[in-house]
Amino acid sequence: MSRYHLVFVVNGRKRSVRVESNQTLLDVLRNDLHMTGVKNGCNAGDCGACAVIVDGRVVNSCLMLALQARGSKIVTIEGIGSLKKLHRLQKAFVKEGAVQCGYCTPAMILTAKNLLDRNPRPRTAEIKRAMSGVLCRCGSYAKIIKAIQVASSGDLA
Amino acid sequence: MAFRSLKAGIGEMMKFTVYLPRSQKQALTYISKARRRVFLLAGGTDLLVRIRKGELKPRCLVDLSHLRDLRYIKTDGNLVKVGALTRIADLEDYSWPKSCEAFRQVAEKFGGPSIANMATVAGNLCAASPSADLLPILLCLDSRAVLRSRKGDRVVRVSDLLLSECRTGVRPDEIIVEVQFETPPTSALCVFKKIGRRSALFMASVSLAAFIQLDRKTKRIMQARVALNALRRNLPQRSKLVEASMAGKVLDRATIDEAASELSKELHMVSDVSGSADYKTEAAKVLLEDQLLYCASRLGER
Repeated sequence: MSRYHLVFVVNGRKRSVRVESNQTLLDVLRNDLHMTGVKNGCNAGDCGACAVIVDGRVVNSCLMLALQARGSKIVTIEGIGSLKKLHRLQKAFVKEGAVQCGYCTPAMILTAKNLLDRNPRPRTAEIKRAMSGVLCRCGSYAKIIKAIQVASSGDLA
Repeated sequence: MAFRSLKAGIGEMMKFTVYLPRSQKQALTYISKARRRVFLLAGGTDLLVRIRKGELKPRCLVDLSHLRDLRYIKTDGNLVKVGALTRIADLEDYSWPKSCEAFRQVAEKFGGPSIANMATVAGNLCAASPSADLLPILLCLDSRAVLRSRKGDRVVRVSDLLLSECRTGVRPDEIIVEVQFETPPTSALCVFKKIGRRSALFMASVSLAAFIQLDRKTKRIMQARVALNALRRNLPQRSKLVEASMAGKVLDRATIDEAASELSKELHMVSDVSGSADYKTEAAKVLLEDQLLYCASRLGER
């Protein structure tokens, strides 16, 4: 089985990985680059837990071959905020209690960030639509929507 | 490494080689010389799922996803030309004329936004199934696909390209490069709606696209094209009976009722995971009435 050389930028840093042809982007991010914030929920594109941002667009990393990310800029949850300085979405999620088990949270934050980057003051219907690709088994949806509204309102520092 | 066996979770994919062409020419040369059947990878939202389920067992994939010259939406004279690798999300972002609401309507309910960011027009066409949401729209716009091989291009009507479920007339040495259709005139309206088990992230139980053009003076129907996601043989098709029943008439309640009645004669829905045949048959008639009423209302506003 031949190995391929994958070069791409992850969270602002150029990375070079030897990958197999049938490895998905999810697999490489989690297992080769140890970005375990990217979750494997269903491995079929149905749950959105694997969401990452590729070249400015949120995608399901379980449905992308790693090789398809060659030359691309990837953002995972590890690239959003830091322990010392949370992103306003992260602050809002904490403030509004939008995290229960936390499994969907990385995908929710990334998807919400992608929404706010493109539409800084979304209406509720637009938030629901943008977030419709990520499922939350704990049912935190109402608080997640509220957190996004709070984050987009500019009330948080 | 012990962790490797856990890495892919459910259904690790079988091993295959991947060819990464940098141009259409490279891609076409490769597939024309391939001794075994190659599979073309575009968005991957359908292909990877089917490989993982074991439905497809490719030895080789050709990754077309980086051929950026195949990602565009443009007008050329009276034609709208959509590149094969245009994402569904691109269809939503484009400024369509008022006569063309269908693309925004389909993109809003196409999986979730992340799926719409990945899935491509050509990939949806090649899926050739009742859950391929673009197909009813492409059919009622009387679209054509441009197929390219090293020998040159050929243009085929999308309706002729869909042979049976999951099977199209694209030849092994060809790739779809473009889908094209005539710009809907201002006296027309093209709409799409799908219904299913949820309000998002759902496969269509029934979906319908309609293209209605009214004569400006008489308000009679000049052209009516109606396509459903499945009519016979579980394949997206236009309903000739519905279209014939509407030609030359005013788009009123009587015409709509007759259209729904004609649809029943042609519908042969199958029961599957998206719904029972009985439900889908009834839902299709209701959806037809709903969309024709919507068209009547929107066209009446002009």
